Amino acid sequence: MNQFRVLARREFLEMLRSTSYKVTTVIAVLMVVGLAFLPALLDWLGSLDQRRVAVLDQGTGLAAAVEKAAAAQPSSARPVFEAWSGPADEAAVEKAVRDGKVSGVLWLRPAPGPEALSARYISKDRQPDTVAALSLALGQAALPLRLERAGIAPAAFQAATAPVAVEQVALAPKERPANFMVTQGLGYFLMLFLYIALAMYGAMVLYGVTTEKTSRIAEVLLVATRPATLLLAKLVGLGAAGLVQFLLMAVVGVGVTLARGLQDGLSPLRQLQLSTLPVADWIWLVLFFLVGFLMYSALYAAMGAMVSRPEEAQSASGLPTLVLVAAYMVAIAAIITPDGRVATIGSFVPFLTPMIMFVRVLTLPLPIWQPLLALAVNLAVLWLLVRWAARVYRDNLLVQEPFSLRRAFRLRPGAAG
Amino acid sequence: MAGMAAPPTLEVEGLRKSFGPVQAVREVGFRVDAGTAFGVIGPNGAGKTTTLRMILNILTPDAGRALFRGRPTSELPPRLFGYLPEEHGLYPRMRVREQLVFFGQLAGLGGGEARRRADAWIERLALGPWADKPAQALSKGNAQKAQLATALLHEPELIVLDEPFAGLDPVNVDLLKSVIREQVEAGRTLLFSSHRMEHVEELCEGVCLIAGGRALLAGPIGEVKRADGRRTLRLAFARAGDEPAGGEPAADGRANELYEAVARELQLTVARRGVDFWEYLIEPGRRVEPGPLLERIRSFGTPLRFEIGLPSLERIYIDRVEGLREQPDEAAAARNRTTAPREREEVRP
Repeated sequence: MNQFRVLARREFLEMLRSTSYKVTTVIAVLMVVGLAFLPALLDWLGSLDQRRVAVLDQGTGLAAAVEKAAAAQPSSARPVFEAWSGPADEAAVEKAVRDGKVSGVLWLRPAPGPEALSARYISKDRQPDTVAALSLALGQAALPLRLERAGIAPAAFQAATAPVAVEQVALAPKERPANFMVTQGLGYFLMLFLYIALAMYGAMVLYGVTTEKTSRIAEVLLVATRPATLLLAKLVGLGAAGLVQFLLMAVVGVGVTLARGLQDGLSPLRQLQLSTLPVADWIWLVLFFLVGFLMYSALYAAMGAMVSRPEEAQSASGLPTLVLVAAYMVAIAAIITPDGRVATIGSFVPFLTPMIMFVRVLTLPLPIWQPLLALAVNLAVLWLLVRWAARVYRDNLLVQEPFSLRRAFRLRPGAAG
Repeated sequence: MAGMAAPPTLEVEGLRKSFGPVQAVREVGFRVDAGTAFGVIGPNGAGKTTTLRMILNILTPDAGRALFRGRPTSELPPRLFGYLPEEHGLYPRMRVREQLVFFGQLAGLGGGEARRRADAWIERLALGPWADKPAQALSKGNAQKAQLATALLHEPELIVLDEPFAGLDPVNVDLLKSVIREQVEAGRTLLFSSHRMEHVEELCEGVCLIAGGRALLAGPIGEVKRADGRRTLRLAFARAGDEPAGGEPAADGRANELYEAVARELQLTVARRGVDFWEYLIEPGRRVEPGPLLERIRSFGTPLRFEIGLPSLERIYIDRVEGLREQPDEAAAARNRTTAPREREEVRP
């Protein structure tokens, strides 16, 4: 036990001191802060591209109505309006556009007949998105005048164009939470995060084992302790370092979100934030991270034990990365239909559980036995996996042979003949 | 537990180990008395390291066993063992002092005690200037010393050093020798492998020669030498014209002819040609009468050095290992194991 503590503490401290750990922590925290400010960031980025449109109104009186209608449109294509201050002649307009004083000039004239108005947009380059936005806004602004000319009462028009209400009768409704879309988006973000974390810590474990082997430290350690102790201490030490990074991100994320939440109310987009997640989901996230970390790390560690030169680390990470990517693919399918068959079965399959069951727990009101059973299945497999990895460890730490996947699955390596 | 335990002894019996088709160790056995140093010698790839690893339970033998104090080493707590591997095993980025403390704690020492001992070893091995540097910044010799400290810090009962002298300069070789002597005087059992026969001869009571995975010789050094059956004659003639006492040995072409003449006339094999002395081998079974032999030598010139003794370990090593090469495998091993005297013949003056 004491040996285990000494080994795990060393792994933990060395990881905390390593440059890669510090760098990834900073990047991760920056990413969390960035995500919290993402809506504001998008607004700001959109404002950089906003077009300035001058409105030259020759007697339609619709300029204000157009501006109002455009304001209701999505921010990306929404232009900023200003009144045309120059003389109403072609040359002046062309000059202002060519000089870049405005992005374009919207020239409105009244028109006879049902069309009610004619519009021209003069700009240097083609601006299809602005033209589309203007066309839509103009249609709305001119609607009352057009209805009047056509002799249609506004109320009659509304009634004629109103959508037909469809009454829904579900015989066996599957319950989905009211904010399903929001949790789905959040679930995707956290699942992606889980995937990155598993791949990153897995690579760190692989690197740690490879270093231990290629620096021949393993030979000394094997005199002092058992391979299984060595392996478990490494997983726990590195796992603890991962958890510290994880918690730091969570604290920063929640802190930043709260700070923003006080600043402004929750718009639909801003609901996509970490603070809306219930505490239970955070606990599941940590649990699935730990189980996933231990499982993938044990796999990465076993592969690392078979590497005899640092250059082989790449091929050694092949198998665990393949499993991880496969789990990610299934998880993507699961997030689209968390109540589908693929997701339901996948959430109980070892190695897939951490990501998929997490997505399901997040998006569906699952009975508690489901995630618990999945965890139990994974823990049982983890136990077998650690035993297997410890054996691969013992058999390969001193073997300086080229990496071969076959060796890991041989019953008694080195015992032939 | 048992109050009156037998003195700690290492017994290695019939060890065997194969890696796939390669038989690394075919048959190795020896016995090390408590509180002595024991040398394991042999050519590169002979199976020395594999043997040491099996003793320390890093590798599981295919057959045979290693007993320490009567119990298999695999059943004993690891803190009883101290191991210096042939290739350094230090965490490259960890500081030397931390590393020593870490290994001390791994062997069960408390934090304070481990730090105190680490400081003492840093002082003892003159590692002070490197104590707070990462291991990867150390030269080969200093890394070797740091590794030695990790092996000895927890005061193990059985110390196994694989090629401890490799890469050390003469000053550090001297330091290591004194550390080995200290450990043996403190009652610990020490086993080391080496290519340097003079170190083994100087430090060890017992020796085992491994070649081709087999123990060709094993036992106390004196016995091994006597069992060889041969004697050596070391001879140096004074330079002509020099005063007899305190003169320099002759080492010119004329002197070499003199030495060759001795070999021819007395039917001796030349084992060493040196500027300071020549060494001849006297075949097993030939009786040696020092008085008449010296008289015979005097007829060639004035002997500055005249010494009859047992062959050096190096001589035995070279002849045994070469004998193995000439007659590969079974036949050679069988011949080398028998030490029956050949025909009886006298060294006639």
